[in-house]
Amino acid sequence: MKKLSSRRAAIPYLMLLPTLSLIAIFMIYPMLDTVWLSFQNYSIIGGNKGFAGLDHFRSLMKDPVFIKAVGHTVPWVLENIIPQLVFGILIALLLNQSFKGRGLARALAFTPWAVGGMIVALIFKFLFNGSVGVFGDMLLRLGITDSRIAWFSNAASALGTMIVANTWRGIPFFAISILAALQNIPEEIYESAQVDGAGAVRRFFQITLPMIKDTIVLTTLLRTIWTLNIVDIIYSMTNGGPNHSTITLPVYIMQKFTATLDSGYCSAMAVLLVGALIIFSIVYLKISKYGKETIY
Amino acid sequence: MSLKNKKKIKKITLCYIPVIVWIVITLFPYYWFLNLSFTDNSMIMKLPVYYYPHFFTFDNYKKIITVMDFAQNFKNSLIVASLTTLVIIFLSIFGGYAMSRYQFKAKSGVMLLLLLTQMFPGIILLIPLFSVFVKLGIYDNLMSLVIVNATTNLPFCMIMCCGFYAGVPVTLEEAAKIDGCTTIQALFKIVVPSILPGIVTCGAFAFVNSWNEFVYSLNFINTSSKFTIPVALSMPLAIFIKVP
Repeated sequence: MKKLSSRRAAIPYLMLLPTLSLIAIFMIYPMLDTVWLSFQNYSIIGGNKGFAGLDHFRSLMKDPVFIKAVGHTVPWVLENIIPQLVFGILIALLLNQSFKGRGLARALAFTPWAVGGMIVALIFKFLFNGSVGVFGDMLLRLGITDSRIAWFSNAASALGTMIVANTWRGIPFFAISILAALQNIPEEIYESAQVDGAGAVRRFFQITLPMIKDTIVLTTLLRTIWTLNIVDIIYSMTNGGPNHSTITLPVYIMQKFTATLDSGYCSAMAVLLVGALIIFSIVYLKISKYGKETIY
Repeated sequence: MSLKNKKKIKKITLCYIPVIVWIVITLFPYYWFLNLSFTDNSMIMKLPVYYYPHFFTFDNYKKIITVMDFAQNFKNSLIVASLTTLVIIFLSIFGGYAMSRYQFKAKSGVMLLLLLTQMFPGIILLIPLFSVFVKLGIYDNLMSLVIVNATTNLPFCMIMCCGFYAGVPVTLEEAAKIDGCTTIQALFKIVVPSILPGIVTCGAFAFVNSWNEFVYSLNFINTSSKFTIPVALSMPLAIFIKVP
């Protein structure tokens, strides 16, 4: 009898074994390896030249591109998340109404989510092309500008093009998640608020927003991590240029790694990036009181 | 009558117009690429800008097949994405079942681990995995992409599957087991068919993500005949000109 029950206890572990071993070998081990590498003088070409201590971190503090990349990281995340969140909520509210063709409208509005970052970058690079780009052409035809804009030649507009591309692609994620949360709000709450004389704006801020708060907290957190992680769009639209003015930390890590294969130095950057992310996630979940409040 | 009209106008301005505007904005980039794809190649970089295929041609589509080795890239992407999807579905079915149906000691620890893996930016895996794949001898091999895509997408898919299992009453399997099914039989004959839509969702998620994956594909694959579509598109076209 005891044998049988211990066999039964082993079943879930057996079922999870392949998954957990994949995660252990190809995620946990590499992550620990990254931490170890960040204290070593290790390069793919040169091999291990011994313990480096905090050398990499010290030289990072003197690396002007690293400092630039760190400085860009927070604005890059905010400038991407805020428009995506605001538009995401608006689109979700819009598509939550009942109207003819709603299914089709939803399906079409959510398609950008499935388009790969590389393709998005290609499309928008062409839309913003300095000589034959359609956005420049439209502005010219409408008389807003009197010459074609070379979008990618200055830092602010180069950043702008990537934010537009990323926003176009990122809105569906927020819209889908928030739409799902909106559908869980019971209709009766709105009806009773309406009876009590609450207007549409007040209903939004006092019922809708508190009810979807947890979804917003979780989606913005996930999106922050994904936005930080974006390499493909930056890599192919500006490659961090002009003059490193649009570089972010992950793009710099990748550029540096492909150019020098210096695992130690790049791992040190990766460790700092993850450390900052972990601290941010904890603080963010604490401050926003995720899952702690309900309006009931 | 006027009240009805007023309501109708309100509906049009607050609902139909914004929806249509939004759909147009969403679809415009697709339209533009369709427009360019039918435009004669020599005219694309010339002014004026035409908002419809003025110099209509099918040449660009012919070139994909004759000049660029697009079929090979497509095949590579298809191999990577389908194998990844199969692995993920198979593992999520078991993993999700274990997580939602059994009580065991490490359960909350495993759940925490799965959630934590979603918190790390993928770029940090790049450097150490490079060495791992070189050691395993699968650097510059499509299998390395299958492994890395499967591992990074698995936690999310498993958590998703957990939720689907939770919607199936346990009594259903218990009845099947009383009728003589083993656990595995009950799982595949009773439970899996009833969460099939969820599994399809999982599979679609995994497929789309691995189809679009770029950073690992760019760094772990070195031979142009093994490039996946996103990598091929990021390269200067000269690499792909077939030598006759």
